[in-house]
Amino acid sequence: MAAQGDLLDLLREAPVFQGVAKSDLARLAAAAALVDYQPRQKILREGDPGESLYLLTRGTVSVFSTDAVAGETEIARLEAGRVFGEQALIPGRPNRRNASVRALDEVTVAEFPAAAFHSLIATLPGMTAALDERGRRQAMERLSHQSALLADLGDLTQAPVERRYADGERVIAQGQAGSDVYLVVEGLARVEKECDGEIRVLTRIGPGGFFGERALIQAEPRAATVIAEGELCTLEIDGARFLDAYRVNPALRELVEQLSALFQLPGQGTVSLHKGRIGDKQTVTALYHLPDGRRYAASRVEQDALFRLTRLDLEAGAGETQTYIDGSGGLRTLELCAGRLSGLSVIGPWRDLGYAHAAVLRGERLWPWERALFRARGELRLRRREPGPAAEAVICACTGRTRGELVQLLESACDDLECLVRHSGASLICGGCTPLLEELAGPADRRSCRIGALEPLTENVRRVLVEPVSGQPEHFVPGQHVRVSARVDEQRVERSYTLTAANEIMVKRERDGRFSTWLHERARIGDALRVSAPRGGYAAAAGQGGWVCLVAGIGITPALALLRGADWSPARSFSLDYSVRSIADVICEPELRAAAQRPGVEIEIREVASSGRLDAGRIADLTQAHPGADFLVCGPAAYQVAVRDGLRAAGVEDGRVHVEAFTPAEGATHRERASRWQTLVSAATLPALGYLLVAGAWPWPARSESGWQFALLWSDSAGSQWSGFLLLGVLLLGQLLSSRRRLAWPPAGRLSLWTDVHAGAGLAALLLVALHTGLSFGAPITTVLLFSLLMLAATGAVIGLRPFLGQRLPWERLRALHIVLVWPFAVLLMAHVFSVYYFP
Amino acid sequence: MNADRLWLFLWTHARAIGWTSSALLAAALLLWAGIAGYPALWTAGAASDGHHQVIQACELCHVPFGDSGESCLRCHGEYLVAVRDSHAKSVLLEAGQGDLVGGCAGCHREHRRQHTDSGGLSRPGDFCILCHRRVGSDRPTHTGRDFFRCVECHAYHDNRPSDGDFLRAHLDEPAQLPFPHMPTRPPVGPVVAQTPPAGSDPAIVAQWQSGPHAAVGCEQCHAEGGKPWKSCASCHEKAEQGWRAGRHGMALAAADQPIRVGEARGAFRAEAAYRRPDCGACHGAHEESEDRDAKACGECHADRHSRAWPDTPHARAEPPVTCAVCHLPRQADGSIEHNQSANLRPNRRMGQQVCLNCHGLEFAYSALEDLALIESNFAGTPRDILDIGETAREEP
Repeated sequence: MAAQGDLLDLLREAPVFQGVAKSDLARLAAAAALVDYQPRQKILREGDPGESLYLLTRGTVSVFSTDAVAGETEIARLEAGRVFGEQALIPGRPNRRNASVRALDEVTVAEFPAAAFHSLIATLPGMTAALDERGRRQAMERLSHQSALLADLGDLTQAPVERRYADGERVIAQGQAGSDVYLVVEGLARVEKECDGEIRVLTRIGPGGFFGERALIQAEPRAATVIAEGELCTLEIDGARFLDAYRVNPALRELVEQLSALFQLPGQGTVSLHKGRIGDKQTVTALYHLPDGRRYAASRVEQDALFRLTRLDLEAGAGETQTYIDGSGGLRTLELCAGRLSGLSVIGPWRDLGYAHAAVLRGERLWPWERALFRARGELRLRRREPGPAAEAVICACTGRTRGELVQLLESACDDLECLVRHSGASLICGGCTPLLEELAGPADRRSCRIGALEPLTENVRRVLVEPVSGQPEHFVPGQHVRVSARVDEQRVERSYTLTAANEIMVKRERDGRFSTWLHERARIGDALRVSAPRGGYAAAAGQGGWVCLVAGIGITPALALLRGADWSPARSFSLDYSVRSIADVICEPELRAAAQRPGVEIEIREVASSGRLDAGRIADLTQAHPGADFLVCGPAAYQVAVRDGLRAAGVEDGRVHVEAFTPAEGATHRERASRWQTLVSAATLPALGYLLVAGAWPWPARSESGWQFALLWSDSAGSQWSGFLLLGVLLLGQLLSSRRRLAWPPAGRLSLWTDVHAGAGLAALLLVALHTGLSFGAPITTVLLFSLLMLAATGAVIGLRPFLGQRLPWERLRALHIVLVWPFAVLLMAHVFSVYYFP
Repeated sequence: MNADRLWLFLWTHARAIGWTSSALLAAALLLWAGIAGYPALWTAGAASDGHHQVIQACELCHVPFGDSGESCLRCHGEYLVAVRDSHAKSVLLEAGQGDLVGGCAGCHREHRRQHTDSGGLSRPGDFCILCHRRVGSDRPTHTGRDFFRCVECHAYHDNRPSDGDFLRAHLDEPAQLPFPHMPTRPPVGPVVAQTPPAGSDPAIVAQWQSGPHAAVGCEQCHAEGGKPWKSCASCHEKAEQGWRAGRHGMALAAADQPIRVGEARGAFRAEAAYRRPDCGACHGAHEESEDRDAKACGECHADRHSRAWPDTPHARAEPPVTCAVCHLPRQADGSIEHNQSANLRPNRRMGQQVCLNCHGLEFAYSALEDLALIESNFAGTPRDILDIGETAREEP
């Protein structure tokens, strides 16, 4: 029997207890009881509650998992000095053994009671996290074992025969002898059984489903008839081979039982999804069968953020690995074979996992710089790039689902995220594309609704009825708003709108507004919307003494909700001052006129053009007439500011003023960003350009005494150096916009300042180039140089005029062109400067 | 690891590195192309008429990264010394004329054809005003004169034909001198006849034996290889130098052949476009060539002045005053000046050198002022007869 001192030494050497003080360990060691086990005797049983921690002091034990189908799978063998059984003791984790342990020879273990262990880790703050980490690594090891098991299944779907059936076509018939097993790839298979001359539909099997295997395994004729419902695509697997594999390989049985989905990959391979468990955790394993014979297994424990992808048709340990450990216990390991990615294991979250996953599936080469990046940052590419808006952009790299396919699913079969995931398999394998799917389907907490009515209220405002696909609209309180989203041009766009009734919003068409433009121009009754629960609103106490609503334009909507939401009386009154540009812009005029007749309701519609703006005097009158009322202010920014100032001047305390801020989500931003200076300069640049192009060389001065000195600027060597370097300086000044954008230097000033400088530099460059050349452009190459400057100025000027040209031009391309044009310009400029000094 | 950090730096800056290095590379390529093979790529503009034939030879004028100020003198220095240029750099410095002292390029900017006149001047023609502003008040004879017309009497570099003493020596001569005095050809020494090789063409042998080259053996001219003018130059060294200095041969400074007529500036016969003005273009190889010259010039030159010659008094004179008499004048020592451009600027230089052999000074100089008369190849008389005597006599 080992002495206490030996035990303490063993404890101190155990990796679990690295860094724990000797005195703490001594206390733990004091609580130990030494127990001997005979060979094959079980020490721990999977699933049992955990009551103690073990330190192996002598002999070898086997750690294994037990499965009803697969039997026992050994996970690890432990030698003396190793600690086990700690995972079930970690506070906050299920108190269950996640694996069994059996003695392999004569074994002695030191058993520590859970209480002693708990009191030890309570004093060590980092310990729980470290143990958690250890647990996750153990789970990862199990995933590896599972993947290895799956490696044996290669025969199953190797070169399966793909067969298509038309609607109503029979796949197998009841009573026939079976020889093949079928996997549904696409469509539905209806399973019918004839009983006493009556046909009953037993079930329908969708993508990923299996049929035909029972007849094989139980060696009996087909028990049912299977008919294609709609077009059906199946993979047909040779029965004899399937049967052989099934008999010898318990894991195949497990697979067949666990198979939950099967998808066809765009590259003609297949991926089957299998659900399983490790201890108390759900796992998803995906098996890839690629047409070139490569097979991969991807296993994921979502709860623990564990993921492992391995290539099955390679010998294990054939290549090298690259490992990255991040600061918070995450671990990423890449496996390489002959310089190409063959697998990866990830512990902890990794946003770019989808990309890495796809890179492994493609067997991409890992270049030295990629290795360097991975070692330093744990990434495979410098910047994550979201897939673009095109229909062929791949959203889920694991299953190869494209935006187009997913949108089609959303339009035909699914309304929400969960259904989309179930039908497409996207995000199931590595989970990397979940945010993108949310963007497509809308966040999971949104309700599916349809447009129930779309009617114009004024020229620019539409009333939109939002009808839930099922159930009643949610209860709302006046003042609340909803987030409403729809797919506009293949992308989900979400905006906030004030509710005027439980299922009603009013939408003003914003210039350049994507959502409002869609609602006004392209939306149809019945189109899908996704709508959040009503949110926001005023404090419950607000408006107890009545409301005074000072609103302008579309700002009427919260006031309308208030007006409709209560019975007003002279004691608790509703007063509305509604500013509109013209009477034609008044929303719900009949309703307002009718309401004005009710007691306690006072409505003034103010046509600004004729009756002037709401002024401080009128505000003061209203505050005196309604001393206890709360004030609702809603309208354009300038209106809000003016009214707030008026209310302050009238002595209304801020607590009684409720401002509904609304800003268009886009459109105005560009207008605001473009300064008057930039517009002016851009507008001036275009005629300057035209002048440079058509004017031709400036005439030579006719007399020595007039204009000659001026002409020296471009004709004389010293003069053209002056004008040339001034021009170069101006060009570099303009270039500061780029350096400010990319390098955040120079730090001073807002970006708009540098945009202004950029535009100004463009115009100044044109002026200086005229002085530098006298508008005679010399050699072919300097003519090209000048032309590239003119192109730069032209694209720049058009971009500067964007606020006036609206959405009509392909701005991104223009901007890219503007930037790309810098290259030839810089080349020619460098060569020009050099050539001038080479040939002085 | 340092290697990792290097890779990461390269990758994170790949775009900047790529753009910059490719731009530098492309710029270097462009420059190399311009310097090594295709100068026209970087030529800053079309050449003046004077340098048109050598514009591709950048290094004739440009010293890479150096001071090219002295390059002009390599070709034009001897001339400036010979004409005793009164506007030499030192003189200008004293006058405080900075931009003129910039060197030759102060007035003769190259690559500015549209701003350069046929004499190579690339600044307003009234430039004398910059220094001689007070010439009107200082010299009563110049009162009220136009600074654009200074060059009618004066030349900036070569003022010898307007030198006061020279003018005074020739005043009051009649339009047509009673006794023309032309330099004559020195006698050719006794010809020692050479024996032609057997089997030679008898017609050619006859031409050869009757001409001045009878004393020269066939093999001296018909050497294997080499350029034809090289064999001529072995005897006619001075003629070859003159030819190279003039428009006919100056392209040799930049190329290994004289210019093709079709590439030259001016009016030429289209069928001559592929000819080159080498020795054989004007001179017969075997026969006596004195009588060839007018015909030979007309084979290429097709400007009005050239085409007008047959109908002029010069053509009808006996012996005729051919192109060569004026443009390739026989020098006092009897040799021929083969640089046909040498007496063109100022054109009084031709007056001094050639015209005064037969004509009076005032008549000759007046004819040289009359551009229409020059174009007609002196088919008439000068529009105005200048009263040079009035000014010349009064001036010191």
